[in-house]
Amino acid sequence: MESFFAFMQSPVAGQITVFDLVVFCIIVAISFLVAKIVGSHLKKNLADRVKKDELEKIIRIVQVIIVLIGIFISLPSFHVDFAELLLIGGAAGVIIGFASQRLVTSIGSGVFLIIERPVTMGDTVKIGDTAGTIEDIRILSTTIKTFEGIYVRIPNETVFNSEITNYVANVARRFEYRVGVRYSDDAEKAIRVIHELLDAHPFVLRNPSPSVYVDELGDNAVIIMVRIWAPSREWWSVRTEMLLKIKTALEKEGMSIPFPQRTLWIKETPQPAPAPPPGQEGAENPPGGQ
Amino acid sequence: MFGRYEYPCRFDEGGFTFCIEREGALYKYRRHCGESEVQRTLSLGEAELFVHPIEPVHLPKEVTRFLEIEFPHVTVAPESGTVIYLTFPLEVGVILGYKGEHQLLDVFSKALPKYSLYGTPESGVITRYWRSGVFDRLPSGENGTSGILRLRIDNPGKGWIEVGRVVLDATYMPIYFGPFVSIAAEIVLYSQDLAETRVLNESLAGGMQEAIQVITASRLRLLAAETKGFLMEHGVS
Repeated sequence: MESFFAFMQSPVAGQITVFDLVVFCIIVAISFLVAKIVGSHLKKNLADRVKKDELEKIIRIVQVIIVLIGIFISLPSFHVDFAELLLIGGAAGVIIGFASQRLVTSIGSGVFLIIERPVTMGDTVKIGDTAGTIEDIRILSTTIKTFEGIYVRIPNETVFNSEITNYVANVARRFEYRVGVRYSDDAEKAIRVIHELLDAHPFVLRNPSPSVYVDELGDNAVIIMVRIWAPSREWWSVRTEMLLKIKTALEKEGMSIPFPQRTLWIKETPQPAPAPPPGQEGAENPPGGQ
Repeated sequence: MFGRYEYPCRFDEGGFTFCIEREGALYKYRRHCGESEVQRTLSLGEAELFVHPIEPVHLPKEVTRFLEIEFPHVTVAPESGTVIYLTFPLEVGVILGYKGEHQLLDVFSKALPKYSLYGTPESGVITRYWRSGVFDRLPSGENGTSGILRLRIDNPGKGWIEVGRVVLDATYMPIYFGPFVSIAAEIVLYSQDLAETRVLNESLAGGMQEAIQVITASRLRLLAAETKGFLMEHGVS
């Protein structure tokens, strides 16, 4: 037992003993544990009331504060002189700053992204050449799940300097179809049928109202333009659903989508008289003639 | 139709059919309304079953919390007010409850859902759209498709204002049911382009019961919706 106490009091570095080290580790471990428990409680209790991305940020901030408090509480066990610590910290900060410029740029970009909020978690976006849904925005990087389900991590510096297209930043968006009907079909009736379909769909917005009109007299068909506004978060399902419905409804009304076709007119010309068999040419038409 | 149900139970009226039947240790919920049908398996424990009118922003899925009602224009004189009655789409919620915690099991409606954009794509909001007539007294007839909204219109300004639409925030939307389903609301018209709407916790007749509000929100958001309501910045006509 005495040997255990002696071991605990044995110095590790300078004045710091094994006991101090153990105390430090225990306090930090407890602070991590408390942070985890608090985070899990916050998640359970606020999940229904706070937006997912905001909740994640709140949880992270609370957890970091708890861990920092734990470290702060445990520092006296290391006999730390705070004035010295500040001096060392300042010098280390300058060195680390120079050594990790790109890291600092990414952190700065991350802070600006969080403040400016051109994208938020769950948004459908295109950043540079990568398109998908924002999964997470961290201080150093932004992660995207592409439409193929692939995880892509983009450093915030790249995000900040790239062209960002946010498909859901506006609450509504427009898309269009070009529907061709035969010249023999009643285009007015086709427009009426399409309007009826659009009116019946809940997510084809009433305002701005959809526009359906003859846009072009094409080579093979009368082209009807269908322009639809839908809630940004629903537009893809509306787009995929409506085109088939339009096709089916037009076919039900006896109209069909024409194939590309070209009419060829073949002119009949009089056949020339058949050439006489060899040997009879002279008999019919002797050289020199008469 | 609305109220608390003991299960197993069966309801069949006005185009709505639903039942909860026991199947061994579990229950089977079946519902039929128009062309839509739903079947669910339930483990109910000691849960209570309610069928209540709910905030009409759930069908076919919840994409907004705003209800927009468009109606024939009403011209309101300066420094005056009036009360009109409108209709709103009725959505029926089948709700399970246990110790004050509620879970929406199913929603159905005879009213066809339609959505709209109030304002611009950049700064507007998606709304559940409904076209109503204007009535100067309680419209009669319970049709199972719509409820009644009493709208108090106030024009405190010096100019004439034409009002033809109202947008309400369903985050705080007390709905009452009894002989009919009702909501009370008010709109304060500041100009042709600006108005403030608020849903009121009032029933339109005695003996009506308040329905369970199934939309959940943070207390702060709920308080904001209750006290401030919704600011219509994109016009009222």
